[in-house]
Amino acid sequence: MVDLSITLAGLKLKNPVLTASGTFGYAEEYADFVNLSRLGGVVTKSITKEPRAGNPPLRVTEVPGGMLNSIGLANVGVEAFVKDKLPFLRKTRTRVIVNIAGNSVEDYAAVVARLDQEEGIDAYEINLSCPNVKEGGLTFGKNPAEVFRMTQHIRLHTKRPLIVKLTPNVTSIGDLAQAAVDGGADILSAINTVVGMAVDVKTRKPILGKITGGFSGPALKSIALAKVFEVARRVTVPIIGVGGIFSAEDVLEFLLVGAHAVQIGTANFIDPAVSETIVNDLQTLCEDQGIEAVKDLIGRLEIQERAVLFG
Amino acid sequence: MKTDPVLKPPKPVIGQYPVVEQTWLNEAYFKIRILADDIAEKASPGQFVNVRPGQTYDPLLRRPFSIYLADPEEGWIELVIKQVGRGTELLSRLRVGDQIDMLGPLGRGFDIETVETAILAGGGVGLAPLVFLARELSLFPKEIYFFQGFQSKADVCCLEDLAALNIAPVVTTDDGSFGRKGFVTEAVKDFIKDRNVQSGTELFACGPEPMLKEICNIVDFYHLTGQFSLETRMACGIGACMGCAVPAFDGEDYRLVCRDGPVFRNREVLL
Repeated sequence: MVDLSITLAGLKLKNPVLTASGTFGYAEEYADFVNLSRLGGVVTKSITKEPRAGNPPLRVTEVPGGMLNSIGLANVGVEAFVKDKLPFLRKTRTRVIVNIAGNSVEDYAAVVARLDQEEGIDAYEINLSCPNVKEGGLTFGKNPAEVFRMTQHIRLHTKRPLIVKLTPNVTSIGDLAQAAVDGGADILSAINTVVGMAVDVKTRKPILGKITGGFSGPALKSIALAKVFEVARRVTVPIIGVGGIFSAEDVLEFLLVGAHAVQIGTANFIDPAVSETIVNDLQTLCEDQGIEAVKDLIGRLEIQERAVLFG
Repeated sequence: MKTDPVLKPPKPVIGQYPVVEQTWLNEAYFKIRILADDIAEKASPGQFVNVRPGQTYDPLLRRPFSIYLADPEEGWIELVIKQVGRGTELLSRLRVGDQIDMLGPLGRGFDIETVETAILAGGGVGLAPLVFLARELSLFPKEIYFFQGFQSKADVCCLEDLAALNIAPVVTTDDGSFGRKGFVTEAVKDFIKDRNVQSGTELFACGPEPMLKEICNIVDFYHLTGQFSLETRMACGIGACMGCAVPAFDGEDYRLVCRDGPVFRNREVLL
């Protein structure tokens, strides 16, 4: 029997397979298809202080190798989340990680402070890569100084494990990772979607209502692997790899480049049972490879000394 | 965000189901019959299935299709699909004995409980959910009037399935090559005017957005009630991705086509 368990900064998971924020609703949507207790954990949709209706349509479109979305953080808001969604999540017998978004550092802190009064939440994942700072107009998730400041401020409001989710839409994700860790992040997740767009040549209009959106899907995997690898070489905190993971083999790739765990995103849309299937397949894959514990694979990528990094 | 639909749909299932019939209806439309007893048993008119076009990840997303007919006794469902892109092209290549990956039945279908007189109006492949609806309505002593618009004669199909239900539809074509010339909405409007149709009549529609807009205008003008099935791009089909949002009628919120629809009542969403 392969030991699939993983510990992330004190947070013990049955296995390294989590679901990615925004692709698994509030978990109840998938309960007909997945035995949630088989998963390492679930990450909720981004929760904001107030409910958010989201962006105008069209919000999703398929593109070669993946899809684009411009959902716009549509969610029920923290109070309705606590009242209507959390009771179900508490019963899932898996780790519950609440993803948090906001327009300002105060928003994030308020949501964390509110959720900290509630039982049944194992960690927070901070989504710094969405909207703009109230007082600046810069996307704060792209600016290491902002990431540091935000993380440090949010850190004051909770003792629960704090995961900061990093955007790849920057020159150096390593600098962001370092800033998040310096600010007090226990764990990092990488990556969020890559900015992309699609055009309808007949109407000469952008296909998405918000013109650009987040690209996700199989083609994201190679980008995500490189980013996780880069982050793993920069910081020592555990990393959760996200991006284009559709199979147990994909999970192993992420572990080898330095991830401690992974999140399954877009794959959930194509096969709502895929997260549990991946857990089962991971068990078999490790058995076939004679691996006793998945944690032994973390960062075990074999690199020839001559190899040129980031050349 | 509104989270709870009025009617809780039955639990969907997912699986690989065998194709038992595949027929081209004309150059662009094809019909497939799929043995799927667990979906056939639960399906109601207006609901849809989310179908994976292939076994690789290209194309990636599932495609939603209204259920054209379902037979719970024989355990099959039928889909009528218009070939428009790569996903539907792959599906058109399915042959008897091939497996199809389906998730369903999904969404909120038509509400027919209190309907006495029904006018059904389809535009193009929008007829798909209306044939199932017509069959359910025909099981009860209700008055049914069916209007179906196509672009031209080459698109005309499915009339024999309506004939089997003893329904003789009024068919319109945009170019006049078959049936009445003009838009289906004009035929519906004339019928309502000529027959002096009263409130209490329900107008059911499915078709392109401009057509549905006009149907809503007719419903409002003649003080009828309306239900229409919407089509949009979606990913998950189960209310998780929130990709298939359409503006609510008040313009301040959104409804999800997969979960709150695909059938909406008049003045529920903004077209």
